[in-house]
Amino acid sequence: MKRILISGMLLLGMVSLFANGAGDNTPKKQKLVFWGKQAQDRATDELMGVILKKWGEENNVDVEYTAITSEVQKQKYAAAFETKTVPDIITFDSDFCKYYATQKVLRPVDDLFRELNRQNGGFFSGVLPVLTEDGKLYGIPFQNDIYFFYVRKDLVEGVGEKLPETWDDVARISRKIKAKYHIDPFGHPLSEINDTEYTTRTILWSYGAHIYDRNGNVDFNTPQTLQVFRLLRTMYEDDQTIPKGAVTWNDSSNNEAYQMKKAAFIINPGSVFRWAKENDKELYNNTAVCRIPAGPGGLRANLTSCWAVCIPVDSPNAALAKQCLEYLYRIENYNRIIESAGTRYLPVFRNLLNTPFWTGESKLSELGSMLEDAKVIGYPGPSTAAASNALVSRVLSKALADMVVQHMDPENAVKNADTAFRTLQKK
Amino acid sequence: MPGGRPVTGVYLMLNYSLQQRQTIKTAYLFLFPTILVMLGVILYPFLTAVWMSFTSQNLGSRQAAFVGFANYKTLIASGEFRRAFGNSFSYTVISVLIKFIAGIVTALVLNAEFRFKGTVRVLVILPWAVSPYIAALTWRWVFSDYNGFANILLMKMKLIQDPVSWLSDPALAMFCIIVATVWQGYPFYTLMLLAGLMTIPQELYEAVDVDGGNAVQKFLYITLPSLYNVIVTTTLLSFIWTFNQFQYVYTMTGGGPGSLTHIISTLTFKYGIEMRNISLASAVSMTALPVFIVLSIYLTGSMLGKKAGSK
Repeated sequence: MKRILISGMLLLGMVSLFANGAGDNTPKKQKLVFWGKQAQDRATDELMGVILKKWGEENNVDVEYTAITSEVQKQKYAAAFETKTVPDIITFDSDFCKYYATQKVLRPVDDLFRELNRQNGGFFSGVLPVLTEDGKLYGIPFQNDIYFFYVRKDLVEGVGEKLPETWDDVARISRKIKAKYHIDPFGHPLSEINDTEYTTRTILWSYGAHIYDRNGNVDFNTPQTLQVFRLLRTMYEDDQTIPKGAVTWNDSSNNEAYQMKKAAFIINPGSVFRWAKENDKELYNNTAVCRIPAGPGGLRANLTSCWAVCIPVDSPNAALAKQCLEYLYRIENYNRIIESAGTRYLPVFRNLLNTPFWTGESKLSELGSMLEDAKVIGYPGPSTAAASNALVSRVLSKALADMVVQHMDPENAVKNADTAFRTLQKK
Repeated sequence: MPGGRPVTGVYLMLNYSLQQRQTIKTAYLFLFPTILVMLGVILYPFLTAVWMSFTSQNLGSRQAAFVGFANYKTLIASGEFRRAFGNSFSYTVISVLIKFIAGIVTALVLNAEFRFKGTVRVLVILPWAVSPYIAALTWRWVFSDYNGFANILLMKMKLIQDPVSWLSDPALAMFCIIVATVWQGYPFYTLMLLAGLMTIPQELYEAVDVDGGNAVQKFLYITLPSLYNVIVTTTLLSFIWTFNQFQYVYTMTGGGPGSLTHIISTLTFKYGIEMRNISLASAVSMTALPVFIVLSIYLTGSMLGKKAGSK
């Protein structure tokens, strides 16, 4: 009985093994796995999926598209690269692209970039240095980020002031707004998060301070840097115009502060603008979208970064991935995605800013020139791996936290940070 | 196995009949797939982590240079690590102590007879059923500067005039994290101690009554000694779980303000995932190993010793 049972099972197994392949003449579908970044609205994520699925159907490819949230992207990418179970296309923040390029786990995409750069006036070139390593490009910009200075013009006018032009204006107007409206007006994060790293760099650059000099050597411990640190300490401790809770904020906290009308000034990309336009007409009408205020020398600065699509070295479908991206970047497809995301996504092609969607947005009339003028991490030096590493190591935000939480002198906080930057550069 | 003694090959040969040896071998054969899975899922990652802690490797990198104890020297010299290590102990000890006190009090209450006891039991257990991440998010809102429930309540009761920044003061932040941890963790104590209380013979309490003893004496001389094994086991488990906690600190403060509320688990995440230095992260996690080895030996000994005694 036992022998009959075992023989029967073996026979069944052999039959099913051969039956799978027998009589099936249709070409097998290839599979392409595409990890995008969550757009913060379902419609845009779904649109991406629809566009990619259409390409898949036309080319007999089974496209698996997943939108990864910002909260889990680091862990997900880490696990994928460590286990070599990477997708065929991956969408990164630009500093991730730089990092993984230095780890030699991404493919160069210069050929694809050259082809795509011929359309729509070409790409805004400001972000390209952060996607480049050893002279090769490892990511194609998908959407640009730039930092706006959001201003509650109703509160500013309520204290008898005009829109701030300089950081001294911001400090002064903040004190007045706090006295009259009892809010902590400047929603500047002071915790060890991306927002602190990026937004503090814009303030530093406007003061003529920087982490690296033109040659890429560390040059952080300067009088200009100390001015910025003292400004932020004064606003946090003495004037109390930066919220006390800013030392434990996450990357959405300054958005929340502005959206809940608890802040009068924040530095943020386009997500707050889009939220206000769709959800709070009063806030939208009372918001002015300005350039980053100038430092004492009249210098204005801005930082740009982007989401980039990259192809991992371990992807077995690199050629297919490039074909898919060529389709995605066709202007009729790409523009649909950009416009669907509202102003959360900023276009990577110059000519798209001349479309009615953008020209009709009067609050963003200076966007084109802002994108052209903005700098990337490492400025005024090259955008190096050390600069990217310094950002993810949170040296700058740690120095701010040491100053305001542990009451370290600004001089010592800056000195320690300078030492930390130099140590990272040696690695 | 008789008497709980290890069954080695020689022991088998000398002390068991052929049939008994066959039975034991079959048992091990059935256990073999589980052992294989444990080797793959536990031992291999553990050994990899140990190796990584002696190398210099970045996340996603294909290269790893051996650096000896360099990572450990970095940690010893790091104020952030020393603070996180100390925080792990203070956070764990205080949380476990409060969980025990809250657990024993609620267990004693639930062991008494009163109306709607069943409903109250369910309500007491509910925090334990909530997803830790959701609980952490909710507590973050409770202690939020902006429209947080704690500030609204205290201001309505006129106990404070201005909102308190609960999560931006290092001492208050850790207090808030402990509150959240205890809220979710004490039901485990309640369940275990309640089960233990139900096994204590009533005659013992009646004997105390006859001797003229009071409630405190009953608690000290009957209840606590009877619950000793349950308390030890529950406390050890709770200590291990609490020491390993991640979501409350990560969600509520991110380790801030100024890295002052980091514990071992969140610091491991920070170094490994955020700073992409998996070697240093591995070294951080290894520093907790001696603690867990000691606790595991004591826990296993406590549980196995109890099992042998019960035979």
